[in-house]
Amino acid sequence: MKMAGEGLRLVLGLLFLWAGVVKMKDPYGFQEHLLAYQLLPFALTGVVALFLPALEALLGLALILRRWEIESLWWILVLTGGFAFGLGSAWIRGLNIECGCFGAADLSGTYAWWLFRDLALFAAAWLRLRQLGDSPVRHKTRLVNGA
Amino acid sequence: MRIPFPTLSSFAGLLLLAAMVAVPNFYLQERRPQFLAPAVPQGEIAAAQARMLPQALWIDARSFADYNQGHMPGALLLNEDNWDESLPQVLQQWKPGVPVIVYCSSVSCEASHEIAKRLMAGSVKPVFVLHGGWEALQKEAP
Repeated sequence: MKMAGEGLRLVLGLLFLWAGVVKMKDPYGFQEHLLAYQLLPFALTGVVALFLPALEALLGLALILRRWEIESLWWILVLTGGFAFGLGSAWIRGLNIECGCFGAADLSGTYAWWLFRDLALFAAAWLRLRQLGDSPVRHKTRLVNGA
Repeated sequence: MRIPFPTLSSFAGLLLLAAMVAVPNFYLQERRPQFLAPAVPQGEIAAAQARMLPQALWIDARSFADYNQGHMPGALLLNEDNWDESLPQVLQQWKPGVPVIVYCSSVSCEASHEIAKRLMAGSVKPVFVLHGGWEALQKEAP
């Protein structure tokens, strides 16, 4: 069980590090993908295109190095939740878009696949958080009893 | 089941660290994001912003002669003169939700506004008129 949790941590870390670095190399291209979703004002797409890839890369690195793991996992929950909202919204509106989640390497696919992948990442982060909460190691965090 | 919850300071601290990485990266990259869209009238779109829409359908509302001299790659010619014969091709290429951008020669040209109105009356949406027309496109050309 512990090994599975460590595996989740590493897979999430590597995926987010890769996704972040790829998009950091072409923030303008990422902004183009954000504009296609027709959700955010123009100026905000620029801000998101600049900061989000750096945050993703940092989260990936933090998970790999086992630093700020709980904070990183919660950020991943926020980000994957937001991505799922954006993808679902574009799907409902019938927009013909490219996910852009992994930059230029992510141009083909379907909404169903992108959403499945996104929710799988959400689930992986949640499972790892649960495992950390159940472990005997004390964290500098607040513990909240789940349902 | 216990869920560990981070403190607000550490949660926000990651965002601050990300900013410290993002800002230098902005200056390192050639293809930088843009933050300011030029002010344009409602219903119009600036050339820089229009170029960034990856799925837009471009419509050239100028004359056949102007279109032949040069036009936006992939743009379809649709003006008042050839409306009936060219509209079916436009409708065939357009997909619901794909933005349509109509341009004519310059900021003072009204043809693009007329074509845009006619397209929207036929339930084609969203339709934008390119602010500054062909002149603006050529100034913004990469």
